[in-house]
This record gives sequence, C-alpha cells and structure tokens, in this order.
Amino acid sequence: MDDNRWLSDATVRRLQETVDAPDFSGTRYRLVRRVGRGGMGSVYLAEDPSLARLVALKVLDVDDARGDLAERLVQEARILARLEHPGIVPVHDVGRLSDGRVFYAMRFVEGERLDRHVAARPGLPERMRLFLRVCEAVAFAHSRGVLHRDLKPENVMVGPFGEVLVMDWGIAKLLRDAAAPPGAATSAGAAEDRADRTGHGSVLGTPGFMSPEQERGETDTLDARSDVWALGAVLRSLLPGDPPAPLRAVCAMATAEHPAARYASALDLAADVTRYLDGRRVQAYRERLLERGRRLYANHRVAFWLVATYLVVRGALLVFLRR
Amino acid sequence: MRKVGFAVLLGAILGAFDGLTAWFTPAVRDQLGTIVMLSSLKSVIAGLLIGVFAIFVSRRAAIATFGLVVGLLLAYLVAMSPDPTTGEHYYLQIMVPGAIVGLIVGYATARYGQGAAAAA
Repeated sequence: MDDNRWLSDATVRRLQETVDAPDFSGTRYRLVRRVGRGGMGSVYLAEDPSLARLVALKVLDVDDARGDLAERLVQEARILARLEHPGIVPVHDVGRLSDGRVFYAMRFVEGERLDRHVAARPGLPERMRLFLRVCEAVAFAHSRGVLHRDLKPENVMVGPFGEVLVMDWGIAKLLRDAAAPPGAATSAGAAEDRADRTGHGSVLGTPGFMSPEQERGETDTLDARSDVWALGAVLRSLLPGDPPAPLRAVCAMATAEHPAARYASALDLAADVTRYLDGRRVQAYRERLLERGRRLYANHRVAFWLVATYLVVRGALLVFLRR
Repeated sequence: MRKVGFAVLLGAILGAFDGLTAWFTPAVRDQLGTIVMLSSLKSVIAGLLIGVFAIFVSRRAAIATFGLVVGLLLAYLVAMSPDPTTGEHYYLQIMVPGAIVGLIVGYATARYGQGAAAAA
C-alpha cells in the first residue's frame, strides 16, 4: 500500500464497484455482487426474492447514446429465449433499470469455464464428451436459425454436475431462412433486421476462434459452417499436445479454409468425434491398413485373444494327440 | 430374442468349424460328416442356452462364464460316446475346444449381441 494513501487498493476497488453498481431498486432483483465483465456489459449475481433463487443479470454498462447496444442486448435475450435447450443458458426476464439501462436475467451458472475445467482433467474421452455436448447445443441453435459467432472455451461453462452450457450469445446472428417458432414470427423478424444492421460488414468475434469468412466481415454469407469452424478450433484447444491422427484430421476438416470442405453441420462434426470415441473409422481421416488393424484389435481385443487361444489349443491338440 | 438368434448362429458356425478340424485326425476322418453335425448341434444347443441366459443377465463376465460351463458340459456329453471303431474316448480333444467355443459364444453374445439388441 502507498504510504500517502489511507485506503487500500482493495478498498478503493470495492468502493468503485459500489459506486458503479447498477440501481436495481425499480426491479424485483437484489444485487449481491458483480461476477464478470464483458464487451458491452457486466454480469451481476442477484437474488430474485419472488422465486427465492439466485440469477445472473447482464447489464449494459457502456456509453450507448444511439441505443444500438441496448437493442443488441435485448436481441441477445430474445435469441436466448427461443433457444430452450439444456446446453444453453436460459433467460428469465428482460427489463430496464431506473437509469434507463437495459438488463436481462438468466440462470446463474455455478461452475467453471471449459478451458479451466479441462486443464485439471487430462482424460481425452471426458474432454470429447464435453465437446459433444457443446456441439449438441450449437446444433440446436442452428436448427432454430441462430449462429453463435463467438464460440470459444471461455464461452462454455461446465457445471458441478458436468452439465455444459454455451454462454454469451451477444453477437449471435439470426439466419434469414430460419423457421421462427410458433407465435414468435414478428419478434424474430424484427430481431433479424436488427442483427443484419448491427453485424453487416463489421468484424465481430474472437481471433483464433473465428472462421476466415467471419474474419473478412462477410456476415451476409455466414452459415452454420462458420460455427463449425469455431467448434473445430474449440476441439483443437481441448486436445493434448500430441493428439491422435484421426482427431487431428477432424480438427483440420472442421477448420478448412473453404466452408464447402468443412462438416456440413455441428451434428456431422459431433458424429465424427463420436465415431472416434466408439473406436470406429472417422470420416475425416483415411487410415492405413496397419492403423485399421490396430483400431480393430483395440476394439475387439478380448475376442481376438479368445479366438487365438482356441486356434492354439486346437492346433496343439492336433499336433500332440494326433492318431 | 436377437441375442438368442445371434448366439445360436454363432454357435452353429463355430461348432461346424470345430467339427471340421477333425479332418486333421486321420483316425476319425471317415466320420467327418457325423462329427460336424454333432459338433454343430452341440454348439447350437449351447448358443440357445447362452442366448436365453443373456436375456436375463447383463454382466459380460457372467455370460462368458456360463458359456464356458455349458460348452464344457455339452462337450463332456459328446465325449462320453466312444469311437465306434476303436472304442477310444477323446475327452481332451472334444472338451477343451468345446469349452473355449462356449466361452467365445458367451463373450460374443454379451459383447456383440447386446448391440444388436439395442439397435433393434
């Protein structure tokens, strides 16, 4: 601590947070503490007394004179609302604070980020199973016409019971040919228009986890294969230093430069990873005869040894007890 | 029922193969047809019993052990009949491979018959 200061850094930080804390007095939520900060907003842990549960509140906390960011936050909440899936964080409520700032309430996820979670768990099959859960959630979003556009390990949470939740749909995009769920056609259409306006020509995403076409800002032509690219990058980040050749090939196919060379969907990618886990041949990898033999042996080791034992015993009996 | 079908079919194939190895024993080569038929029948019965057992028991080791015991018992029954020409018994030649065939059918039914049942 600086001798000239009579408050510690921690105290100053706490005071700063208290001053910056949003005023939830006009809402039904009671602020507990801030839990994180993103590009355009902060996430707070809050209590919902009416349902006696904790929720996470994402609040816009940057300058937004034109209202674009507020619109985007509302759209994020609406996109989440149409994605009811165990692998996607559910949204409970959307509203405005007394100072006009937009917020939405979602489930408070207790767990850790995927990258931190796997760092302590070296088992490849377990990592792949988590990855498959991410693929399922993303495939579901695609089936509802939503592209995530910012898939990365930091945006995936693993709960205490192994549940996997894809978070941060802040730059998600609604596809034009998306079939809106019944009764939601109007809002979805309006949201789609806004998505195009906010996303057109601008580069949104995270370097290293962004498809080449997304990096070039070609937002109009993005489709599910752009998220497939990001999933491939996530998969690569989950693999150990010297991954098995079939998984390397899966990553390479998912992150191919041209969308046409990638898996057509997140489910196709998941299916290939499942094939690897089941000891079957993966679509992305042309294995050599010896590798195929090794794989088959690894899958049917006991059967192999039983048949070998039979042949050896039968042969020995023929040789030694021949009449 | 798929497990039973799988076990019976595998038993028939392995039993026939086991019987065909009698060709390498010149003393019984002229009875090859009978040996193959009896060996197949023995393994089909073993397969049937193993398949039914596998419907009620899911543990792989238990099914494989059951296959081993059934294979051994049925092979013993077959080996009890002496060679009609020499009057000799071939306990070792029949019982040891028969037990291993039973073990293979049991293991394979538990391992692969399960998948067939799940897929159905």
